[in-house]
Amino acid sequence: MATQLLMAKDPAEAIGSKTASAAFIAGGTEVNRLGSDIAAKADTLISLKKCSGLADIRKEDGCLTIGSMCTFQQLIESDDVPAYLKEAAHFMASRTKRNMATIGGNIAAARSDSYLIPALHAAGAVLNICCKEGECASVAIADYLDEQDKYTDALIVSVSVPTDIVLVSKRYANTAQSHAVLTASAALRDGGLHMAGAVKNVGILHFCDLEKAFMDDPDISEDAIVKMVRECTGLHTSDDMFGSDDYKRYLIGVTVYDLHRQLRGKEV
Amino acid sequence: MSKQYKVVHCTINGKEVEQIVDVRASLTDMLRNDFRLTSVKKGCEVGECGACTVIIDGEGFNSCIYLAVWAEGKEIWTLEGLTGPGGELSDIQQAFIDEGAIQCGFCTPGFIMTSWEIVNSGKEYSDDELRKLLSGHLCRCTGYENIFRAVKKTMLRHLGKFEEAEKVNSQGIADYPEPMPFM
Amino acid sequence: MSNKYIGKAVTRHDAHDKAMGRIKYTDDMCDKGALVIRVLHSTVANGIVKSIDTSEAEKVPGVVRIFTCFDIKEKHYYPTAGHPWSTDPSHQDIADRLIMTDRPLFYGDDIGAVVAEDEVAASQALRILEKSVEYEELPFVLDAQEAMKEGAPQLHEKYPNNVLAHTEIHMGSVEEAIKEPGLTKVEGWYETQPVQHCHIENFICYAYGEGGRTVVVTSTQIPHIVRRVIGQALGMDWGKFRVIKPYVGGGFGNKQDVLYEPLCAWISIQLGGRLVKLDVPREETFISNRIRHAIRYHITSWMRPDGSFAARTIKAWCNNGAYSSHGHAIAAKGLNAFPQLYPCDNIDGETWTVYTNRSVAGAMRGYGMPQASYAFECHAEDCARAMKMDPLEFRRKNLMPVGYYHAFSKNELYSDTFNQCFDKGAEIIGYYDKVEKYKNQTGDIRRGIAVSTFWYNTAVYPIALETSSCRIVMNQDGSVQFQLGETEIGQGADTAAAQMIAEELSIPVDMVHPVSCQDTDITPFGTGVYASRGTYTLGFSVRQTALLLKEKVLEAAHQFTRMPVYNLDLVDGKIVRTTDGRELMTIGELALSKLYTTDGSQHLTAESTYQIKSNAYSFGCCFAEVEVDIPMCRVRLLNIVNVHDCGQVINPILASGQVHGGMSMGIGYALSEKLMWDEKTGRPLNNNLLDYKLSSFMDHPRLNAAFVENYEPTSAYGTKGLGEPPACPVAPAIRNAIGAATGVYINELPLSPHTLFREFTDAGLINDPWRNEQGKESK
Repeated sequence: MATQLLMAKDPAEAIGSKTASAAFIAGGTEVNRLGSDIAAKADTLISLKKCSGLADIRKEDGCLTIGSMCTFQQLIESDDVPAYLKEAAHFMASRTKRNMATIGGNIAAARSDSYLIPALHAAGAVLNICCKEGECASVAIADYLDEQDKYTDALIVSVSVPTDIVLVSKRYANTAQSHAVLTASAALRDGGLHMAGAVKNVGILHFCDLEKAFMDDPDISEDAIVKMVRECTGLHTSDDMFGSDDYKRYLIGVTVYDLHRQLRGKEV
Repeated sequence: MSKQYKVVHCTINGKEVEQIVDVRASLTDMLRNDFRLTSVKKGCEVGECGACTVIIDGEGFNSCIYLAVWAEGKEIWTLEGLTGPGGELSDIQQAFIDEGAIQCGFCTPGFIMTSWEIVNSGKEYSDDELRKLLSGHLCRCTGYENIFRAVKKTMLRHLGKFEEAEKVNSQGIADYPEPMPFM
Repeated sequence: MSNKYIGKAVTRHDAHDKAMGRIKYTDDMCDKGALVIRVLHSTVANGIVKSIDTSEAEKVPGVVRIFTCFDIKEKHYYPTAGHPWSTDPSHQDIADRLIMTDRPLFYGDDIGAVVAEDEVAASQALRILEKSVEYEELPFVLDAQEAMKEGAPQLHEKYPNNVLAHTEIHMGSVEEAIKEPGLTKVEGWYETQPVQHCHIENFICYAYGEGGRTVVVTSTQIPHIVRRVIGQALGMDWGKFRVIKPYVGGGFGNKQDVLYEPLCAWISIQLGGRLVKLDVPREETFISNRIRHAIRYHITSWMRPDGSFAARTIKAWCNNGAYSSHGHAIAAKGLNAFPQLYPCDNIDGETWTVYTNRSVAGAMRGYGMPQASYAFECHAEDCARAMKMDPLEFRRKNLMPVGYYHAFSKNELYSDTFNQCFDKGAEIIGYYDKVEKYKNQTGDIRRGIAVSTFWYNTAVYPIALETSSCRIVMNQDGSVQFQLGETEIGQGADTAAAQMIAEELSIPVDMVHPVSCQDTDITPFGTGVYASRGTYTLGFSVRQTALLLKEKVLEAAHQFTRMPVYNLDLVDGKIVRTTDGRELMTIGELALSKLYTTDGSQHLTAESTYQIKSNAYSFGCCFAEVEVDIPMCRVRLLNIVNVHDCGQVINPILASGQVHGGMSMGIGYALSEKLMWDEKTGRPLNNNLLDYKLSSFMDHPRLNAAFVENYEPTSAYGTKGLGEPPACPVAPAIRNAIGAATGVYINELPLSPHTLFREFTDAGLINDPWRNEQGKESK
């Protein structure tokens, strides 16, 4: 159980202090809550709250770089943040929590019902990461999530997102504040279709097969999409408290179909 | 490992203070235990119920998941601070009383803090926006109905719309437009 | 009778202080030097604790003592239900609980406790301790019907097949009645889920020694009962304990059970009377306090062609969890309601209340009636549909008629209340127009409107003791303090009682001061608040005591005015000569004179007990209008109206507040709330407010509360119960409205998207190509 806390002054100090028994703490909505595993397993928390230079939002043609310590509420209030990301930030219903939760924290926690990752994934966001050795790298969010173990001691400094893309999202939860059983996003960018989702208790999914199906036949029927998801062996949904396997697969199918339809509407 | 302590300097309800805290202590713990500001309630300790809400640098936070050491240099307001030196109530507090928005009273301090921020924002929010802004608070007694009325009326009065405020009916059957898909 | 204070929207007496945040709840009163108790809970659903190695946990700095189930030398089994005690052993609650047990019967059972100097040390020690318990694990059972089967794990020796109670009712002959030709049989299973109270203030108590006794300050609805049960649990004289109830942040029935007060008192005694505090975290509140019973109903009705009932049967399996708590009283409430709501000459009914290895079910707002109302009103809707009758007309035809008399409770339906409630609700929501408008809808998004009703028997007469005591003490200025055993827990009981006293004494309501916090050393005996009994029962003792005081006041007035008592009255705070209406002196002058007179000084006080031997039905209905997105399996509640007949409304703003709160709880019950356990381990899955969600601000439409006021003739002030009823009719109204919109009537709760998905797919409303193909292949 963590009893020590380090208030890092800057990213270098934060990264320098990161050991196997230490954990970063960003906004605190995950780490500080009762029953948090992160706080139970670590002995030291490294707070990024007072780290300089992590909360800026910079705009450069067609691309926006958002400091990892920007809160959900800052995303919503910023004039520069694209609407699709504001929408994703609004998925966290509680404003008091939006004042704390950060974009970097939400990515690093990589919750299976992540608020932001589906949108960032579909948007092709790039994470600017600094590692212990002082090396910095830019990593596509998809690659980061694939190899998250590699980055346990790394710090997400900022997130770069495109501003000139068409992206639509949907979120399904029992009540406004419940964990979402599904959050999904679809985007048109770089001449292609990109779709991603967060499925509660399953994880972050890149819907490659569905992207391909839509690209091959933009007029593919909803039934065909639902059937594809139903038969997808790579999808490991199961019956749990958030719904049956059947339900989740159906929901993914109809939602993805709907998102694609919406995108086509916007294209015209 | 033994506990680690740190000094925090901040302003609480307009008064500069200095306090030694356990680095893992929450702001709720500090405000309740060290300053006896017991309007700050513990309800869930996961940031979901909103009973512990305080205003930090002008914005509402769940103090139960906010580390006390993060309060360094901050300006913090709790419900105790909304009351004037002579015990005068702010209008939002009075509205909670007048509209019957208080029952057991345990969620009340948190609700009033968020509502205070809303009514002092100078903005006029739609009903849906108000619901969204207040949705970080849970209440099991009131069904939110009378709280909604208290906040909406006070917001309108702050904007000088006194007549409209009086028209916020106690109960209303909404006449919804024709069926439309969910958002 | 024209009332000055009764029926008026008097601001609740504590609202001002609550708006300032300065009201003291239990934790706010506790000295910060208190030692902290954390309870060690079982992490198996059924088993035997073989050993607990406390050595590592004891090394944590700040740990004071660790107690385990093996420290209990004398086993005093005790009951926990907040029922009045009975001196007749056959009517006593089942005593099956220990303050700590080596035989845990559910995941979360209490097997030990850590006492430390602060929360951090207690939590650290608890984490270590959890890993230091050696169990012999035993098979467990979570479902009530499974638990009754041969070979199922047995929880309590005295209760074979885990049946805590089996209750039956028989009227006429179902067997004969169903031989009548031309009957239509309607049959259904109706399944309700376990939910939790979720008062925002968790349960908390603290204890310390004083004057050779133990004082326990606790967030409870039932302080006098708590004192008795602590005595029973510790095998000590009841007078050795003093229980204090401060302001309470919601109870809803969870705090109508004795929770951790006995353990807290015991630990304080073990530590020589040191101040110890037991603050239950939210995660433990969900599993180790009480929950609502999950009840599975099966109802069959045989209908005549004219839509009347020829015969009916009902069976219910009530999942009670691991200990008895309120036991069979919950299922019995529903069973007794069945033949009364829709009377029929031929009825067979049976309920089984069954122990299972789940969290303990106890009292929760509605006490079995939200479950029963769901089953009854789903079934009523199904019957109406089978008979092709309008659901509202079907109910009007079959519901309890005016003049209905129930021999056992001696209750009577005095007014045409059901029709009045229906008429009022239908008008407010525009029921008939909308029924027409929503006929023959097609498309993905459809709307529906429907109704449900309820019957609620408030208070506990004649099953158990009903008694209320009141004390009123007059100050020198003629203002009064009053004390009652009926507790203020947020519902507004104190304010309602103050209005009654103001009315009776004819003094301004701001001269009537509730002593809001009960203290068993000071407060007159009362059993607390539950069963929606508060306003009805306290009314009797309040009125009786106020009249006693008034008599004393007028007698004293005789001394100073020389007028005969029969020519005097109290009017608007003055002693008035009734013969000419002249004001002779103020009540303040009188009280002052009487106290300081050198000729017969007297402190004007009155105290009395009233034993209540009557009871009153409470009625009402709920109309709900929904919009259903069929492909997305989602329901949006557009409008909802509850109409209640609780007799004379004492305070309309507080009464509306009660109704709103009940509706909100009903909406959560209908659409989102459900406590779940892992079938493989018996571990609770969603015991926190992240995973278990009550309705938030965004999940509600505006809530509409309306009243029909038929003065209750048995009542001191014409009033009757209102606290629980609003939660009863909501879920079935929403279920019926979804059915009206889609044609799919769902018999389980909550009506969550994944349940709707299954039902809509089964009904063919959702086209699932995959399932269709699977179906074809299997044929």
